[in-house]
Amino acid sequence: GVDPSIRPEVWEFLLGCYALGSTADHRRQLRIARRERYEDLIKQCQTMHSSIGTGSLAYPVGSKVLDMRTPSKEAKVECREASTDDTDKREKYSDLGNNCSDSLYIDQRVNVSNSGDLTSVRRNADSAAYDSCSSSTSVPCGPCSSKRGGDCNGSDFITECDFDFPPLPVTDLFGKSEDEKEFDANEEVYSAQYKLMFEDDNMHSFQINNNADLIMESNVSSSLSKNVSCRYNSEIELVTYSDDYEPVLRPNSVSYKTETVNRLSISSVPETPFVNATRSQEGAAQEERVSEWLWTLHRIADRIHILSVVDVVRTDSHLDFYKDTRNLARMSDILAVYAWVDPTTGYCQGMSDLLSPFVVLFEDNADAFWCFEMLIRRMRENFKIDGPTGVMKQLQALWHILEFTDREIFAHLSNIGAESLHFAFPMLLVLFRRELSFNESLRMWE
Amino acid sequence: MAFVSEEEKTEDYLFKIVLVGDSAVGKSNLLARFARNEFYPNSKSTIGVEFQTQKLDINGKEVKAQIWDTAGQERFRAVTSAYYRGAVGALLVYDISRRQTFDSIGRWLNELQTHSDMNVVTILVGNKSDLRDAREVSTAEGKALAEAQGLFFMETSALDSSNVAAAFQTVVKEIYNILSRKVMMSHELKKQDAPLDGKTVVLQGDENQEPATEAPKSGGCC
Repeated sequence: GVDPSIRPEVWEFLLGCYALGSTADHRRQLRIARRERYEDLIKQCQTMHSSIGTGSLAYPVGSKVLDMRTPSKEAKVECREASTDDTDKREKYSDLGNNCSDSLYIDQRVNVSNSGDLTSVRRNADSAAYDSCSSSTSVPCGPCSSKRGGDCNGSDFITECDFDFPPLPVTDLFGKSEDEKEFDANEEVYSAQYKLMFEDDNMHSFQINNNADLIMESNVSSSLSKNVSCRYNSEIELVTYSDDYEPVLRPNSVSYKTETVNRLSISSVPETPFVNATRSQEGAAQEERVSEWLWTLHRIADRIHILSVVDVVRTDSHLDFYKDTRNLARMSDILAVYAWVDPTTGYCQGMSDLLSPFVVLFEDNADAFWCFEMLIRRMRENFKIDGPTGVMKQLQALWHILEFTDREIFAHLSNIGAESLHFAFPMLLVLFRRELSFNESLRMWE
Repeated sequence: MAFVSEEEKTEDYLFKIVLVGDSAVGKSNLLARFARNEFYPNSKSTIGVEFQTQKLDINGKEVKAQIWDTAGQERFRAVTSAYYRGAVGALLVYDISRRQTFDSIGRWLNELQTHSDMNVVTILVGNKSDLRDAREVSTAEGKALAEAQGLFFMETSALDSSNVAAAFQTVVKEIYNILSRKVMMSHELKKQDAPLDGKTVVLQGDENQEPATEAPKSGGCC
């Protein structure tokens, strides 16, 4: 194993967060970008559950989530409707939209139009007034996400390392954030968003002027070589053009997504609700429907969040480290953010077991998050909404392996009808976290 | 197939019973309390399936209950559906302090009916009855649902042990009663062997033999 003192550093390489050949400077930039990105994500998630990012852990008692800041769901509703944190609303909703796909039951139907319509939405302080306006953009459906290079490190990873794990459907996390942030609103929008996330090579960049209701969308054509990195907003302020990034990114990238992710709009737009003007194609009725739909999503997000919090408090609870609720809150935050950026996976039981070591190892939540994200890339199949198909496949493989490696056990298991090897299920799902001690499992992971 | 072959030789009866219900309603702790008299305030979420066996004495006969504890999260159902196979009893658990878990009961019932080979002796269990202040589902509501669905009903607390053993016993006893009636009937009819394998059990409602529960079920399980 790796000496514990250098674990954090080494693990980032092992997980593919950084290419082995990367320069220190490059890594530093990446780290900064990621931290900022994470910061953004946290802020967005905060609108979903105000306890996120505060260091306090909301925990459910009854069906209410108790925490100091959000005594009840009603409070959350209010905050949704009041325009207090309107800046983040958009994020919140896109947030919810994303969660919706994890949403245990509902969202599949949200699968609306395949339209590549991108919609940029402006936001109004009044929640009912959210509307969307779509500007149609051709969306050449490329060879879906598997080809996409993902974020910077993803690209590094793929191009420079030997590993090649299936990328996230939302391969391009950074890019995706753009979608998330820029979009909100109705189902069509969301679905378009999903499509984009998963299938679309089209890159879009949006620009937000934080003062006006200006949301412009520029469509950057789909890329040939998908190993495009999307560098993200750290360097970008209000307006970004693709070209700004090119140098920073892979030199060979033909196109890439740019993002104007508005840290600014997040942090400094506050009291200026977008004027709900022009391009809206939706009527009031539509808006109402949308807001209702969003509300549903909110409840789902709630539900997911409750589940993850419930699990967080019982993850590695024997460790002194987790006697401190702030550390539990860190875990909870990261899970919430992950559920958001990877809506098709959302939160699944077992994830907290996988996340826990990163929370312990890394002081910075962003670093922990990105490592976790890299790990889950390899394991996403295990946490799918329609079942842990990845593990099931592995169990079958294990069964075949046993047949050759240990006839005796194979015969015994056959005899008692245990071909499905259910006992090995947890071992594979949480990588022996339940069978081995904390330290042992880290060593085994290495 | 359950891992039952060895036990079958030594036990008079072996019943497979499944614990189902939403995440964190206390399924694993009900089992821990019943089988080992233990309780873990922060027990880890169940991944996949675990099971324990527990012997019970029913009318002087030794009956072994093999209790399967499953993961509560929806998405694991794809896998866990296999766990229902061969089950003759079920504890359908919700948390009285979280209404959401009670609202899910209908879904769990459907699932049970879809995946199990036959009608299963089922008890609706409102767990965490010790959380009086946080109660969101009244006892009456639980009872009413159980009656409407023809289920046994009981409120339990794995924390303070109340009714835990009783809930399991209720199910096991009922299975046993149904089985013995079936055996008797088949003896009377043809003197043919009635296998004691749970799979052959056909459950029939029987008001006379109802175990004492807080809310006797209103009808048979069929």
